[in-house]
Formats: sequence, C-alpha cells, structure tokens
Amino acid sequence: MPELSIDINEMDGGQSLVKLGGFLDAHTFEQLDESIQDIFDSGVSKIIVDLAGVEYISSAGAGVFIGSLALAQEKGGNIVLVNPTENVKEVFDLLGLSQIFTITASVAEAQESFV
Amino acid sequence: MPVSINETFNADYDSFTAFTSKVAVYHEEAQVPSHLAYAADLALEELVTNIVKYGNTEGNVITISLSYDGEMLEIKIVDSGSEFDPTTAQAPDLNLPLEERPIGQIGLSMVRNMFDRFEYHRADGKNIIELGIVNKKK
Repeated sequence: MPELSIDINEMDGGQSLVKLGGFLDAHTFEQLDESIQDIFDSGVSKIIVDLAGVEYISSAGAGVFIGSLALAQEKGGNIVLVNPTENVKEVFDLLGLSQIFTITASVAEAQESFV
Repeated sequence: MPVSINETFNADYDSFTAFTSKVAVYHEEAQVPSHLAYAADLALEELVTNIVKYGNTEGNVITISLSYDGEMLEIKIVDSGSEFDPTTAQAPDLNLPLEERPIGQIGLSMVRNMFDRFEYHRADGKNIIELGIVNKKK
C-alpha cells in the first residue's frame, strides 16, 4: 500500500518544518492531520510543509492543509507550502489552493515569509 | 487495440487499495505518461471513495476498466449502489471561503476540470461513469 512519510523538525523562530514523502490521500491524510494537531498542541503555529517528496496528493490530502490554515492564522501563524512537484502543483491550482496558500520554492524562502 | 485493465471488486476501501496496486502496475506496463496516470489515480480515488461512502447498498460491487491507446486514457466505473450522478453534483459555492467548502465537492470539481470527458448514466440499476483525458503533452 502506498505510504506517507512524515518528518518533523523544530526550527528557530518558533517554526516547525514538516517534511512529507510518498502518498497523501484518503488512506494517509489522518496521519498528517494528527501530526499537525500535535504541532499546534505544542504551541507552534508557523508551519512549513516541504512537499518535494510528495508523489501524489488528492482532495482528501489537500483538505488537511485547508482545514489547518484558518487555525494557524488565528494563532498568529501560517502554513507555508514548499516546492510541490508539477503534478501536485496542478492539483493545488485546480483546488484553488494556490490562491490562498503561500507557496515557496525553498525552505529558506518559507522561513523569510514569517519575518 | 488499446491495452486495458478490467477488474471487479467489493465496494470497500481494502478492495479498492488492492485494486490501486494493480493500476500502478498497469500504468507501467501500458507506458501511461505520468500526468495521465496521476489524473487517473485522482479520479479513481475521488469517485470510488464516493461510491464506498455513499453507495449504501449491501453487496455493492464496483467494476472498473481503464485503457490507454497512446492518445487517450479512458476509464469506466460501474457500480450497483444508490443512484448518484457525480457529474451534476453541486459545484462548490465559490462565495464560501475555501476552508468552508465541502472536500467531496472540491474533489469532484477537480475531476470535472481535469478530464476532457466526464459522463454519467444509469442503466439496469447501475451507475455508469465514463471519463476520458487526451494526452496533450505529446
């Protein structure tokens, strides 16, 4: 079964870097939902999601970002998406996510967006 | 003659997951371009998830055929569940903030935008969905 890998690192400036790999779909989205909830619970709301390793995302997967964005912003943070592949970017465009999310080409650029 | 795959399985997530492994092998064997394979995987997930969630019929089975002839990728999904036309499912209310729009509607809307053909009809008590997408990146 296609799987999702999630690697979370705390960064300077009260930011968390979530590095994803594999498949973010109806089977795996709950894992990411729980991980992001854990980050919020730890008091961090500035979240950088590195999507370079994500091979596939569906609306169920994208729904995690949509559902978390308002909460992050309410807490004074944001969810910044980094380096999606061409296929993943097309899904974001079709879902309208490209209009509401900050999408950057690198983690460094994402970090700067919080300053 | 297009290369094709044709499978029937029970309308549940485990059976669908097993089917998706076969689709992945098919994509490779039929040399389906990656952007078409991606579109096919997305459409299958969005549409089959709907059938499994809302089909509401005991013993519902799903039959899926998928073919690629080098020009066009075609998918046919047949199930015996409750009548549901995903092609006319209510489009998301664009006045609502994205986070308040139902994910299911967003997913179907994405399939509508992605595929060149997205048709539905009901016959013999079955839902029949047909999709087609042309390889425009040749």
